[in-house]
Amino acid sequence: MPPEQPQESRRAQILLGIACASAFVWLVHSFAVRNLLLAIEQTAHKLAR
Amino acid sequence: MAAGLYLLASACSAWLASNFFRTVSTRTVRYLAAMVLWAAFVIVPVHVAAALQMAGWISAIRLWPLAAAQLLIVVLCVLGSSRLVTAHHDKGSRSDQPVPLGTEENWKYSFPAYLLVCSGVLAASYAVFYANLASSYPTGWDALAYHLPVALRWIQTGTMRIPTYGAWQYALPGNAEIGMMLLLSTGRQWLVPSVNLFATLTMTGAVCLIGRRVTRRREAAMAAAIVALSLPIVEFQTFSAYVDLFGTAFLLASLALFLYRREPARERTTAFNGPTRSSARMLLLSGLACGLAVGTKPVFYVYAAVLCVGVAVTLIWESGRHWRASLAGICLFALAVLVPSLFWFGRGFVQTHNPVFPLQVKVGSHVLLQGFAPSEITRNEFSDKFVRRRAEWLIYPWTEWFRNPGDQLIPYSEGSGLGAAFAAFVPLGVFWAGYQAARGRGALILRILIPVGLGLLALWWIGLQRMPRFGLPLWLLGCVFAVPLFELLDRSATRGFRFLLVACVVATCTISLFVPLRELAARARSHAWRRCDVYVYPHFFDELPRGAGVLNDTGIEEANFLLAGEKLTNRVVADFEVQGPITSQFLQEHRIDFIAEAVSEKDNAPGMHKIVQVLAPTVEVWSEVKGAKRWRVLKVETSQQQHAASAP
Repeated sequence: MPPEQPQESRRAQILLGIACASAFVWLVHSFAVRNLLLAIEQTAHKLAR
Repeated sequence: MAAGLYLLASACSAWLASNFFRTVSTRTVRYLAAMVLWAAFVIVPVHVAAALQMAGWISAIRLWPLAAAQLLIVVLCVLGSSRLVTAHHDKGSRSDQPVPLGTEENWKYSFPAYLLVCSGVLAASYAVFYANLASSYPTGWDALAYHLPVALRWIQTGTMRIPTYGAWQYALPGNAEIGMMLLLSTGRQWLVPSVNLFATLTMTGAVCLIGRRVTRRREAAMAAAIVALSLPIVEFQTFSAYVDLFGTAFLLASLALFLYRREPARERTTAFNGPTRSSARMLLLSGLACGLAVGTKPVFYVYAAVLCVGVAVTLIWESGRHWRASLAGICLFALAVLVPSLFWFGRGFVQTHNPVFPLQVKVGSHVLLQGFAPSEITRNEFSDKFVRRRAEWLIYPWTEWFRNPGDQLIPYSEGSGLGAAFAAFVPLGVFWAGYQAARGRGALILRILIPVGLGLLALWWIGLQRMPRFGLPLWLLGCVFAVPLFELLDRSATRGFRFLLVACVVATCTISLFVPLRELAARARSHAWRRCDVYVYPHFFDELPRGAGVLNDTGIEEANFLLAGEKLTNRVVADFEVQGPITSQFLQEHRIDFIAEAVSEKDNAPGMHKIVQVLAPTVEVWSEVKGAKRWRVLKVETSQQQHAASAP
């Protein structure tokens, strides 16, 4: 195994961690997600009525 | 029929002309070449016809003569193509002979499963959008307020002149609207957004190609294309009649074709020894693509100017002492840029003495060329509806806030939304690419493009009023900048990366899909399939006699297209053509038979402007409540109108 491979793997893990964190922030913070849930709820209410 | 023949013939011409690029070994480059040529073959003959009409050589732009001209172009392409084949047979050893597609192009055998899943999810999502469109009519504020009215006006009047009253909406360059005009004339209005579907396919090829210049790992370039396709702003524009995606696609195609003007294999092994025939053709094609973008919208002047400077600097730098070769290359590129854009500059100059009309040109407070200030066309505060305060632009990918999301609540539309995949990977990818570039690593092209992209981002903030859709080329370039990150993650954090990418694409598509699914379900539930039900306007306008003049005084800008009726036979005078009170003289000048008014049942309803007072004798012939608005139709008294059409 070339010596740079473990270092590259470590970097990749860190970057993947940041990407996951970024996706998580989007999930909890984006109004697209919040409003989708709200829209589903409203639609369900309308259908129930 | 004529429009269908015209489009088919231009496709044949493009396919035949793409034979001139048989010297290129990359399948995607040939595909991109064919797309650019097709767009040019569709647009340039219409420019020529419009110029002839303006010069008084022909009375009007008509589709059958255009279709005949297109057939002539096909014949010329057949002749040119057969001569090319003969020449290749005669000179089998030339360097310009066709080369087989590279073995690397056998992607079928190496297309990884996670990319297949992402592609499948995207394809399903796009298919639902398409089904929604096919059962409906084109939507979108800009599209209905002026893009489609412009295209319709060209069909109805047979001219592309700027009207004398100089409304900026009728004075914008309109390469994309030419395609819309042709598709509108087929009578199937839902086909109009096909112009943007074509642009999306071009954009995907361009992103893949630029990505391939950055990495040796094809999967990374494909991941960039998938992230680009998952952008809600791209997905919504694909099925609308907006023009930003069209311009962006050809701008990126221009960059991609320029990067591929020399075969990658030859570039590594040979020193510069003047432009080959193949590289000159690619340069020509790149210029054509850039010109298509320039002729789409003034926003692209900024991007195209930067691209042109980049091309010139690269050609000079590459040729070293061979300054004649670089000059020839620059002239060739500039000439190609002008082919699909010169008409718009010429029209502006002839009619207003300002080639870039409707844009005003001024230095300090001194106006050099009359026109409209950019803030008069797009208000500076307009972009504030996407953020609560301007500092929030820094975190926009993670907020995706929208001031008035409407009843559907989803903040995604033709003008907003970047999605989960963008938020997760692109800002980080740009940072990683920048870090690599600062350390002198990574592809040279990336080291050049990153500072240029950052400079353009500043320009978008200052000069382009921070409109998300005006920055579309930057968001898509951002996807390309993320390619080194995709490459690293796919190589060293394979499972986690693949799972995250698929999850992000699925999440974004689910949110985007909610909009067409809800629209489809609502229409199916209320059986609202007719045009007047989809757009919510009185059926009265669908039954007017052909050529009836209708003035849009509803205060609803979208009604500029709606009032044309089911068969698009009404001659609508748009709301922006009304400059003051509606007088008898105005009605006579514009040959108006009916005036449409709408008053909201609620006070201060959004999207309604104040209606203009009518100072002429009229009689009410229709009144109806539709979409929480009371619509009134006033018939202009026959004493005012000699040719007045009769009410249905």
